[in-house]
Amino acid sequence: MSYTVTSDNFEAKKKGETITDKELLDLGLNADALVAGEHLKKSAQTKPATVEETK
Amino acid sequence: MARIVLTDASVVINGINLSEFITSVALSTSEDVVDTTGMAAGGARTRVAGLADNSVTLEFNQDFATSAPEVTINAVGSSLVGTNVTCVVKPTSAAVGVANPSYTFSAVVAEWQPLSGAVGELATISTTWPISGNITKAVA
Repeated sequence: MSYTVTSDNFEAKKKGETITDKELLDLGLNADALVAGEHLKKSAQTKPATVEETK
Repeated sequence: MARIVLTDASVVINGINLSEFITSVALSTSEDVVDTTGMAAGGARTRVAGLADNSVTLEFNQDFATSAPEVTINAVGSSLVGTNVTCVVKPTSAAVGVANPSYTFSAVVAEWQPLSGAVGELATISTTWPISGNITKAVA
C-alpha cells in the first residue's frame, strides 16, 4: 500500500509525494490516523494484468 | 553559551508538525529513588536510582480545520487517543545539531480535550501524556 501526502504539515515528505506502508512503519507512524486526519490519501492500486489481458 | 527564549519550538506528532498550534511544551524525566539503607549505613539513608518515568506536557490552541490538532489527534474513524504515538520535539525548527537537539519518544495519548474554554476565551487543550520507554536525544 502507498499513500499520497495531502498535508503541508507532514514532516517526512512533501505534499504530493508518495510514501509507502513500510516507510510509515519505519518512522513509527500510524497510517490509519494519518488517512483519517486527511494528511495522507490512499493511492489507487493498479490492478495486475492477467494472462488473458496480456494476450 | 547562548540562552534560548522559546519562540520557534518544533513539535511533531505522528509525523505532523503541529508547532503552529502549540503554546507550551515540557519534557519531564524523573527517577524513582529506591532506599537501600542498611543497619551499617552510618545513620543516614542510602539510595539508588530506580526506574525512569518520562512524560510530555503540551498546550495547544484548538483548531478543527484540516491539518490542525483535532483531526490529527482525534480523527473520526482512527483516533490516536488511547494509542502510542511517535513524537519529536526540538528547541527550534532548524536542523538537528548540538545547539538544537531532537528528542524522540513514544507517548501514550492518555487524555484529550476536544473542547475546553470559557465564554470569550480561546479554545485550548492542556494535556500530559506519559512516555513509553526512553526519550532518545539526537544531535546530528
